[in-house]
Amino acid sequence: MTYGPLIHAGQHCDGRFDGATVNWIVPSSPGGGYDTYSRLIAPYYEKYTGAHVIVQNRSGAGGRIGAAEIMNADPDGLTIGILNGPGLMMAAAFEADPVPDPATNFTILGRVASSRHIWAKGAGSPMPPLDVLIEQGQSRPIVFGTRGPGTLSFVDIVLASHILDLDIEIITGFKGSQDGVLGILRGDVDAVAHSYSSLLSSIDAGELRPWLQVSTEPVSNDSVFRSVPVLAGPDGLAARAATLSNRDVDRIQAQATALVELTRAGRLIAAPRGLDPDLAKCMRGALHAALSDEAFVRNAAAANLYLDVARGEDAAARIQAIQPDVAGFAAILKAASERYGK
Amino acid sequence: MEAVLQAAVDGFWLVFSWPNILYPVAGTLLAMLISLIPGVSGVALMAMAIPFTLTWDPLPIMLLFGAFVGGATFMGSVTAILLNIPGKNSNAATLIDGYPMAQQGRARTAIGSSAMASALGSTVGLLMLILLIPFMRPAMLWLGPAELLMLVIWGLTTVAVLARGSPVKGLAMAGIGCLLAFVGLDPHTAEPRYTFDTLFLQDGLKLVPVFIGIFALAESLELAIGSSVSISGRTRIAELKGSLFEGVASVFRHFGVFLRCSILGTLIGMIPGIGGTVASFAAYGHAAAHSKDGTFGRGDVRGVIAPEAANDAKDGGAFVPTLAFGIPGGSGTAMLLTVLTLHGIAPGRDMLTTHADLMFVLIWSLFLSNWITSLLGMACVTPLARVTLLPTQRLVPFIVVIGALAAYLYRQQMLDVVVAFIFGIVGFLLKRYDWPRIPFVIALILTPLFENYLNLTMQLQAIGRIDFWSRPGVLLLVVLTVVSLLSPHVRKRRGGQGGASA
Repeated sequence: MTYGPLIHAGQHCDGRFDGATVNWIVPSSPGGGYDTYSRLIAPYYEKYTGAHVIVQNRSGAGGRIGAAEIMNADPDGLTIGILNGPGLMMAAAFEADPVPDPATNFTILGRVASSRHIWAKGAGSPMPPLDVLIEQGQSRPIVFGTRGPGTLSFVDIVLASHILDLDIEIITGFKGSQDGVLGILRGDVDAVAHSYSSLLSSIDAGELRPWLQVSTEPVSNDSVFRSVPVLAGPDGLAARAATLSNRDVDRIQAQATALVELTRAGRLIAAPRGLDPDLAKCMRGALHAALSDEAFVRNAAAANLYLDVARGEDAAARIQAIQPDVAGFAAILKAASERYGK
Repeated sequence: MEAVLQAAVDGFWLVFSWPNILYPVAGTLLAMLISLIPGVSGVALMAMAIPFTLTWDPLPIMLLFGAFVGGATFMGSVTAILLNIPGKNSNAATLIDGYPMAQQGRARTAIGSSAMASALGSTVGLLMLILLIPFMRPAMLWLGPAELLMLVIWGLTTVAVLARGSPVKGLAMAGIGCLLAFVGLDPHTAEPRYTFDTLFLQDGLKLVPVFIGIFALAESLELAIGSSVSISGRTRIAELKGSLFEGVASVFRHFGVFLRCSILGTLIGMIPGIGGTVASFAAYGHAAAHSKDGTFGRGDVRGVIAPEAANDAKDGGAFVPTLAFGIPGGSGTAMLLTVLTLHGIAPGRDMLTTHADLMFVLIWSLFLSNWITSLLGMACVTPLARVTLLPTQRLVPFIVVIGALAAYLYRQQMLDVVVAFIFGIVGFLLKRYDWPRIPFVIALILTPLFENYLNLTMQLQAIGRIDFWSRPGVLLLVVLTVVSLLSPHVRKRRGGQGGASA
C-alpha cells in the first residue's frame, strides 16, 4: 500500500525521489514487529524523500527471501527494506550456504531499534539469582526452552552460557517467547531467553522473573531489574564468572561485549550494495530525519515500540566491527547445534 | 467470575449501542469486500489499517478490528462451495462436501447450512469462552507437548476413517502427505530437507498453493475436459434443487453434529498454533466417523455443517490462551494482540482485570460480524448460486485466473503459482484414477505438528521432565484414539458403512 507524502519536502534528496515509488521490503508476514516498524516509518520516509513508499511483505526462509530481494535489487534507491541484523549475521557466519550478510552485502541506511535480550525464569523457581548460582556452583543443568538453532534466542543461550561457563540443556521446538513462557509455567523448562519487550508482560504479570540482562547496562529502570546481573562490562557477570573459573578474563569480557553488540545490531534499514555515494548520503539523511521526526517518535512511543536509532554510517561501522567476533562464535554455535539438534 | 460476567454485559452494550455499532458493521463490510480479493485475509487488512488507527481510542479500535477478523471468514466457505476454491485454508474441509452439493444443484442449501453453522458456531464458541474463563489457566497448563502429541495422533486417525472405502490408497496418500510435509528446514536442527538448495523450499510446501492446486485447479481441469455445461450441469435457476431454508433447517436437523463440532472447534482453537484448518478437518473427520450412511464426500450437508461450525467456534477458543496468558491462539488473535500492544494494552491476565470490558467489546464485535456476514450470505444466496449455472467455458478461465492470483498474492511469489499448477495436475490425476485427496491433505496439515510435539516430548522425556505414560491426559487421548480407530469396524460389523472419497 502507498502512503501519501505528509509534505512533499524531499529536502534530503533535492527532489530526486519526487514522483518515484520506493518498494520497502519486509522479510516477514504482516503484523510482526518488522512489519509494524516499517509501516510506521514509511510515511515519514516519504515526507523526507518525496517518494511514494509501498510496503511489501516477502516472508520466507527466516527472512532470507526478503533480504535476498533487497540484496539483488538494482542499487537505485527504489528498493530498500528492513533486516534482522543479528539473525542474518549469525546465519552468514555459521551456515555453509550463502546468506545475505548485513555486514557485506548491503548499504546500511540506519538502525531503528536494537534488541535488549534477557534471561527469565519462573517466578516460583527455586533456582537462586544467577550470580549466586555461579558462585555456589550448579547441582544440575539449567534447562532452557527455545524455538531452535538459527534463532537469536538460541544464539543468546548458547553463547552467554558458554561465556558464563554454565551447564545447560536446551529443549528446542517451542514456537516463540510465549510458548516458552508456558513451558516454564508447566515446569517443562527452567528458563527462556528472549527480548525484554516480548517477556515484559509475563514479568509484569508476576509469572516470570528476569535472571540475566544480556547487556552492559540495565535494560530497564524497573525495580524488578535492580538486582539482576548484566552480562558484559567491567561489573558484568562474565568477568566474575571468568575469575571464578580461572579463565582469561579479558577474552571472556571481549566475548561478552561482542555478544551484546551482536544482539544490539537490531533492526536495520538497508538498500542494495553499490549505491552511488551521493544517493546513499541523501537516503541515510532522509531516514535519520524520518526516525527523528517528532511525530514519528511520538507515534512509536504511543505504540510501545522501542527505538534505538543509529545513523547508517554508525550502524554499518558497528556491525563491521563485530564481524570477526561473530565469525569466532560460529564454532561454538555449530557444536551446540549438533548437540541439541540430535 | 461475577466481574467477568459484568464486563461481558458492559462489552455487549458498548458494541450494540449507537453510534458504536457503526464500526463493526463498517469493518465487517470492508473485510467482506477485501476478502473477495483472493489471497488477502483479515490479517492483512488489519496490518494495513494499523498506521491509520494509531491515534484512535482503544474502543473504536476493538470494535473495528474484531469485525475485521470475523468479516473475512464466511466468504471463504462460499468460494469453497461454489468454485472448489477455499478462501482460507480453514475452509478447505468445507469443499469436500460443499462442492459436490453445488454440482448436484444444491448450492443454496450448502450456503444456507454453512451460514447458519458459522453464525451459531461462533455463538457456541463465545459462550464456551465465557464458561471456560475460570478454568482456562489450569486447562492451558494441562495441555503440554505430550498431550498435544497424542491429540495430533488422534487427529491422524481420521485418515483411517476417511479412507474406509479404499484403506490402502488412503494410507498411501497419507504417507505421501507426510513425506511432502518434511520438505523444508528441520524444525529441530534447522537442517534443510529436500530443499534442493532453494530458499523457496526452506519454509516447506505452503498449504495455500497446494490447496488451490489440488482442489480448485484440478477441478477446473476436470470441468474443461468434461462435458458438463456448468458446475451444476444445469443452466436455469429453476432447475436448481434445495433452498436457503433447507440449508438453515439442516443445521437444526443435525444439531448433535453441529454442537459436537462447535465444542471440538472451540477446544482445538484453545491450542496455540494449531488453528482453524486443524479444527475444521478434525470436525469433518469426527462427523464422517460417526456417520452410518456412507454419504460423506458425496454432498452430505453434515460435511458442510461440521467444518463451518468448528471453524467459527474456534475463534472463541482462540481467545482462551490470549486472555489467560497473552498468547495468540491463531493468526487473527496474533494480529489483535499486536494492535492491543500498540495501544498500550499489555497482553495477558491484565486484560481480564483492567481492560475486561474492552476485551469483551472485541469478542462481541467479532460475534456481531460473524452474524452479519452469515446473514448477508443468506440474503445473497440465489445470486451466489447462479455461479453454478455459468457456462463451463466461461467459468474455467475465471477459476484458473483467480486460483493463480490467490496463490501469488499469498506471499507474492511466482513459485507459489508454479506449485499450485503442479498440484492442480496431481489433483486432477488423483481424482481421475480415484485416489483420495483428503488423507493426503490431512497428513500434510498434521505432520509438522506431529513432528514438533514428538521432538519436544522426546527431549522432555529424555531429561526426566515428563513421564509420558503417567500423564492422565495422555492416557485419556490414547483411549480416545483406540476407540476412534476401532469404532468404524465395530459399526461395520453391525452393518453400517461410510467414508469420504473426495
